[in-house]
Order: sequence, then C-alpha cells, then structure tokens
Amino acid sequence: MLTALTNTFAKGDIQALANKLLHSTCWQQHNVKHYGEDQLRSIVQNWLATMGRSDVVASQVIKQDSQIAANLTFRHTTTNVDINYTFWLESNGEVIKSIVAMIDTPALALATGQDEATLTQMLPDADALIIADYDQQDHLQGELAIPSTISALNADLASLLDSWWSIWSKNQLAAIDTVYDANAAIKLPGNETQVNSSDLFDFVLARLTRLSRAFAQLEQVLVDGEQVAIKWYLDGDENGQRVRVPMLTMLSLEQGKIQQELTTTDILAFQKRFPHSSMFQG
Amino acid sequence: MSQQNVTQLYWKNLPELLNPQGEKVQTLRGFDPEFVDIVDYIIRITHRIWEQKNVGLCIDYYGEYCPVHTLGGYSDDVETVVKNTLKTIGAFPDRSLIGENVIWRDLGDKAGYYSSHRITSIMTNKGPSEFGPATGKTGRVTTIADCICLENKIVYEWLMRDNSFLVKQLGIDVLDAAEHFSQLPDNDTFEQWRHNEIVRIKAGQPSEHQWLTKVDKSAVEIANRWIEQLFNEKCFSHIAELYHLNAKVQWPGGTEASGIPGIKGVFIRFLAQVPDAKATVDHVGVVDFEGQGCDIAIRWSIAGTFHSGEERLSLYNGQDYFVLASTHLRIIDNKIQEEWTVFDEVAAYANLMKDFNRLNAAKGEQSC
Repeated sequence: MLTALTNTFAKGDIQALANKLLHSTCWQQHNVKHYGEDQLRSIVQNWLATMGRSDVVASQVIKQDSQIAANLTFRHTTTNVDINYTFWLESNGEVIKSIVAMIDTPALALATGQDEATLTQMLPDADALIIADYDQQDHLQGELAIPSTISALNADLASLLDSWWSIWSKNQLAAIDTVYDANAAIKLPGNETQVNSSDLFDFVLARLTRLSRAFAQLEQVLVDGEQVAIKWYLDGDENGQRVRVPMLTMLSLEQGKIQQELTTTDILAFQKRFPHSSMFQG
Repeated sequence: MSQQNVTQLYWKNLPELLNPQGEKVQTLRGFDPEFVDIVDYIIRITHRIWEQKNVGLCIDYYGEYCPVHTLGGYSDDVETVVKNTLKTIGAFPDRSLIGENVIWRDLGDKAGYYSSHRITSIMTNKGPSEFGPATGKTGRVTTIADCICLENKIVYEWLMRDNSFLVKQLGIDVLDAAEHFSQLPDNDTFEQWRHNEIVRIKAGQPSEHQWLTKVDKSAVEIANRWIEQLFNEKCFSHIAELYHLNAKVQWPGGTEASGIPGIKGVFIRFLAQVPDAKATVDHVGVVDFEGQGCDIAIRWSIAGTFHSGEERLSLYNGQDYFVLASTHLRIIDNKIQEEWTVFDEVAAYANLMKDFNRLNAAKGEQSC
C-alpha cells in the first residue's frame, strides 16, 4: 500500500493507486470528501500539478487490523523543502475503502514558492459543515473518550496515552514533562522545523487560549508495537463561531516515553473553511 | 439459506458486483434468473438505470402502479418515475450512484423483499432543477431509497435525500431552495398523505405498512429505544448507552459529530425546532456487517409544532413540521459505532412555506 502511495504521489503512477481503490472509496482531504473515479484522480493530478515530481525522504507506517496510518515526507526537488502528507487508511490489504489525508499545506506553499493565499485559493471549497452546539463538560458522567476506553491497551501504554490525551483534552500542560522524553523530536502543524517539549507547551497553550469552550474528541487509536497513531479533532468557539480542527498524530515511544511526534493538520484548508479564524496565526 | 451468503457491498468493487459469480442464494420468486439475491438485484438495476442511463428500464423494474413517497411529493405510476429520472439526469447529466449499503428484509413469498439502499451520488448541476437554474457546480448527496421489491419490480418506494447538503454545494441558500421548491404545483394526494401522516405520528400510531416476517429482536429493540428515548422522551443521557464513546454520526446539511457530547448536540439542535415532536418507527431491517456486527435500517417519521428563533424561519412558528427519514446504524458490540441519518430539509421547509402561503391566501379570501 505504501509503495502504491509513494509511486503515485512521487512519480505520477496514477494507475498504481487506482488499482487499489473501490468504486465506493471515500477520500477525505482539504475538508472535502471525494468519491468516484474522476474526483479521486483529480486529487493526485492536483498534487502533481502543484508539486511536480518529488522524492520521498522518509516514511512511517502504523498498522492495526484494517486501519493504517502512514506518513510520507516528500522533498521538493528544487527547493529541498520537506512536506508531510499523512494518510489514515482503511484497507483489507488488497483495496482501500477510505482515506483521510492531511497535507502540511503551509510547507507545500513554501516548497513550491507560492504564497499561502494563492495556494488556499486553489484548494477546493470545503464541504458544508454544521457543528451542532453542545455541552462540552462531562458533568462527572464519564462519557468522554480517552485512549484507554476506546482501544485495548496494556496498563503502561494506557497510562501514557491517557496522560498524553490530557494535555489536549484537559489542558494538563504539566503532563508534557512526564510523557515526553527530554530530547523528544516533535513536529507540529505550521512549524517548519522540529521543536522540543518546551515549544510544545507554548503551541498547545496558544491553540487552547484562542478557543473558548474548547473540546478535544478522540476518534481512533492505532497501536503497532512502540508506535501509536491517533485520529482526533479539536472543537472550540472563536469569536462566537464554533470551529473544528481535525488532526492526525503519530507517536514513537521508547522506554515508556514519547521520543518522536508528528502531528499533521491541513492549516490552509482550515483557513479556507474558517476564514475569520486566527487559530494558526502568529 | 443463510443471510451471510447474501452479497455484502463493503469490500466489493463495482465490476465484481456487476458480474456476480455463484448460485442464487435467495428464493427471489418471480425475479429474473440472472439475479442471485436482493442486493444483487438492487445494485444492478440501479447501475443500469442511472449510470448506464437506461431510463426506459424503469418500465421493466418498476410496477405499473408504484407509489413513491418523498417529503416533497408523491407519484404512483411508472411513467412519472421515468419522467422524474430523466429530469434529474437532465439537470445532473454525470450523476453517478455509489452504492454504500443495502440493508434488506425478506417479507415472505407474497410480499417480496424490503431494501434500504444508501447511495452516495456525485453530480454536476448543468440544467435547471427543482432548486432553481443550473449552477454548473458539482455536488455530492446521500440518498436512502427504501423499496419493496416483488417479482422483479419495485412496487413501493420511500425516497429520502439530503438535499440541504446538496444545495449548499451548489451555492444555493437552503431557504432560497425551499422557496423555489414551494412554488412548484401542489399534488392533492401528497398533501392528503402528509396530513394523514402528521395525524398518525402525533397519535403514536404505527405505519399501515407492516409485515409478518420476523426481524432480529435486538435490532428492533435498538431501533425502538433510539426513537423512544431520544425523540419521544428527549432524554439525551441515553445517548451514552446507545452509542460508543467515539461513535460518528452524519445528519443532513453537513452535520457531523463524533463522541457523546457532539451527538447529543446533533439531537438537541434538531429537536429544538420541533420541541413537542412525536416520532414513530415505521420499518426496521437488519443485516450482518462483515462478521463484525450488524447494520440496522430504520425508516422513521416525526411530527410536531415548528419553532425557530431564526428570522426567516420564525414566520412558520406554530405550524406542523413533518419529516420522513431513514437512518442506517452500524452496530458493533451492541452499540452504535456509526450512523447516517437522511431526510430532505429543503422539502420540510418548503412544506412549511406552502402551508403558510395557503393559510394566508385563505385568510385573504375570508377578509374579502
């Protein structure tokens, strides 16, 4: 599956991927669900038109049952800028039923020498989204998903992942020091380079303070040895409007600590959907 | 004949579905011998009519008398089915229908099969449609077609389409689309049916369409709890008993939520505009899902007094609000993991507008 993705997006082998897709495959990217041969082909064409040929310089795959999280790091052949393209696939090993994909679009703009506004304009209009307002408080009901309640985890991993989740879901910033290794390499959306746990503290705080009534919802957790993938989103009110930021996170663990994190969100697609948001500004 | 042998769509590609191998696995009395089961019948006739554009095949695959109910209209002759199919293809010439699921029920030899077919359609609006002039934009829409299939023909249909999501992608305001829709000519049979349905639902009476064949008891229990506890009792703490903590729902107009708080919000937002609503379960079907759980189809209806704080909609406060809906639930470990609820918000609002205009016209006549 990874080879098909690599050959398709780096070399333009559209057929390699087309052979893996069903008539009913749904590909969610840039906040749009794409269906059907024509739309699915256009995803690859648009990438190639923007990026040209490129090299895959790193990859990471996390697999559990029929779910696969895969990140491919593409390097632009002229500018040498790296772009993370993260996929969350449902596959039976032969064909792909669904894909949720996140591109680090600010990095794509940088790599291709476009300003972000131009690239944003080129993205498709987002699907209509109604976020019904809701009470984000739990009121001691135990109704909120945490990693250990939606995934079968051993006790140590449950404790580690629940602590990691508390950083976003309960603003428990102090957990950063306990769950991340002191030398952890962390790649966050909108940051060109890897950061450390102190930068992560600032990043989380900045996002959460821009939102009132913030709420983090866990969608899926995959565990593959010492690697974990998490699909989740952050909702919150920003100047009275409810916004939603979908995220994909991949964690590499060692000796009970997070050694490496890659969190991807499509910032420019988010800006296109919520043009008045300042979530990722500054 | 085991239910597990009947075609399941989830991992199958279209060429495989259009060329089924193996023996017939259901009785299919009176159906063409080429069909191996009811799912095969639904998938192949849909492909032939819509994607191969053999609109005339409606004559072969629909009963000469075939009532079709939508929230926006009614027809009962096959000629109208042909005409409406052609009009839709004229407005959306590249419409493709992607079969997502077929949840079916054997109704017995004399009644045939009940099929609840969830479809994702991709289509470009190149001609005038019921929502207004052509926009040239491509949209996506989820439809659930509930059909009774007897002796190779569809003889009764309830059609639910998420038109509010479609019109938003076409760049049309939902209430503008409803206004346009409300100007279309009235159909007396439809209005009588709508009136009767509102009276029936408010009285909590079952639908007149009932069949004797058994449906899995636990599926019926889930469907009844879902309607009773959420729509009728409006006790939303039951959502945590019915849904997984990371369950995902899709409702009309682009409403999406995961998790208990978000799902509660979806129900509360909908029911707030019809706070005295009563709902009925009108049909339940259930099939296995890939050996991991089951898929339940619920056709349901809701009626009550409309209430909105939004300026344009508040005009219709106090009027009857009625929705004909279908929901597909994916049940894993006895709880809902995923839900698709489909109804036509555009038609529901158009009906409010029609009633309002009629009422005002009647008042005008009286004052003359």
